[in-house]
Amino acid sequence: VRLGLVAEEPWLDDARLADELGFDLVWIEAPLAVAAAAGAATTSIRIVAAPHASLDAIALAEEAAVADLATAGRLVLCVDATADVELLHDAFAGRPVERNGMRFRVTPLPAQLDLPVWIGPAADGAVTGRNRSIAVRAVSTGFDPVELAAELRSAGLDVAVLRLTGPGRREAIERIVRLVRPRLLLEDVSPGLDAYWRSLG
Amino acid sequence: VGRDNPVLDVGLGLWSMRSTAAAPAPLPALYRELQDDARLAESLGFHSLWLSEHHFWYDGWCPSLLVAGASALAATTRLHVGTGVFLAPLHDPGHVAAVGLALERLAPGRFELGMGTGYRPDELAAFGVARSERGKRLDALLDRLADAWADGGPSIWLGGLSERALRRAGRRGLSLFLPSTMRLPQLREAIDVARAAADEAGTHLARVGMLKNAWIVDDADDEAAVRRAIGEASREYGGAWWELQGSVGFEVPELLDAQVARAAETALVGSADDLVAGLAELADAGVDLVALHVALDTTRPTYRAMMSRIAADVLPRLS
Repeated sequence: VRLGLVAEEPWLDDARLADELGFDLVWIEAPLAVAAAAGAATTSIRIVAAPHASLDAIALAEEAAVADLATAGRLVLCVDATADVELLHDAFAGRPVERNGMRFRVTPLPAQLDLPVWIGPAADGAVTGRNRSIAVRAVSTGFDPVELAAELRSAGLDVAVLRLTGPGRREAIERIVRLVRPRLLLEDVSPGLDAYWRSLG
Repeated sequence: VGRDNPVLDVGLGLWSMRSTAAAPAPLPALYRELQDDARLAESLGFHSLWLSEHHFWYDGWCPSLLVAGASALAATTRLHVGTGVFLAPLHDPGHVAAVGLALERLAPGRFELGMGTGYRPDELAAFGVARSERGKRLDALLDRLADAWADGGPSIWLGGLSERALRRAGRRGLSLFLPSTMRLPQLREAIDVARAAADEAGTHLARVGMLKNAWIVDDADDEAAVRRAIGEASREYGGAWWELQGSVGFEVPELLDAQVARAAETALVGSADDLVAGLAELADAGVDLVALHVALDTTRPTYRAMMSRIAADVLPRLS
């Protein structure tokens, strides 16, 4: 299971922390400009831009391409179900698009050959991505790490994006990295190993 | 204002992340360099770095300045990042309002939104904007932003040289962002028009910014080569896009040559003393921010060295 973190405003502190701690992605519910800023503030993490407002598809394709370039190809674009995904894929591939009787190509092209476009999240948190089972999950900062790891494993998710609610977010984020993430990749965790991880906190 | 000590903010222009036929480059590298250059500009003491916009052009000319600008803001802590200019009629007012507020959260007081109306027919047509509607759409955006940013938002600068454009900036108490090729008498006249409109409306013109092609040279040979490079930087898009007496630039080579020559002639090219004197003239005319246009595609190999040289030899002589 790949792990993501939903960034809280003002976004970049969470993006930096998630990057430093090795999260696979940071989820940014804000305009694509904020995703580009998160790219400049980080080095490795993938950035999911989930802009709230629906934007004209051409303008969205331009913004996403620029954000992908500004993040050195680390962008994932997540749009709502009403977005013209076909046009986005055409634009990202450099194929011609038509608008107002004009035929033209959207520039620049993104850094990635195949910029991921996800759709969602639905009311239950499910996100549709090519060949991936993805969901955004609300998790209380008081979570039990063993239970959370078991839940994420049994859900069969490829990507779990955690939206932390409650006090002590930073400490909770560190507990995810120390006590939850290792359990996503190990079948069995001995009591001694568990005790060792807990002693690191 | 003393002639030896012009008072003005000095920024740099004009980043557009283009991979042109004349100066090809990998686009991801150009976006990485934008962030590097922003950090360099900040460390050298420049006030700001300015971006420019166009759409649907083979070289990738950056179409989304709010996105690119956000990356430069996040790469720095004090530098201002501006648009010179954002093509207002092509953008959704609600989106601009929302993104401006997000940038204000990310980098309070550091984003400068310079706006113009755009002129390239293909861009206007693709976004369904009639040429005659551009001013109306700009006004609608300005009304929207005045409302949405009433409690704080990016500063607004307006480009455009028509009397209507100059009066709009004055009447609304906004700032001007003027082009490099203006000569002093025209510059003074433009500022007078904007100030008069501000007076009539009972407000004042906020600031006067200007883009200025600039370079420090050591001798006359160097100067000729630099002026040529500055002029040539506009030949491709001028030839492809500008309407000169009813024809597209490349169809009227002598008119295009004249425009290219004008860019070369009006550039501030000379010794560091010449640059300081030129900036003093602009400050006397009422300009209080100059974006020195050094980052042309034709100067890509050397503009960073020029940033350092201007910082060392010119900035300390301004106040």
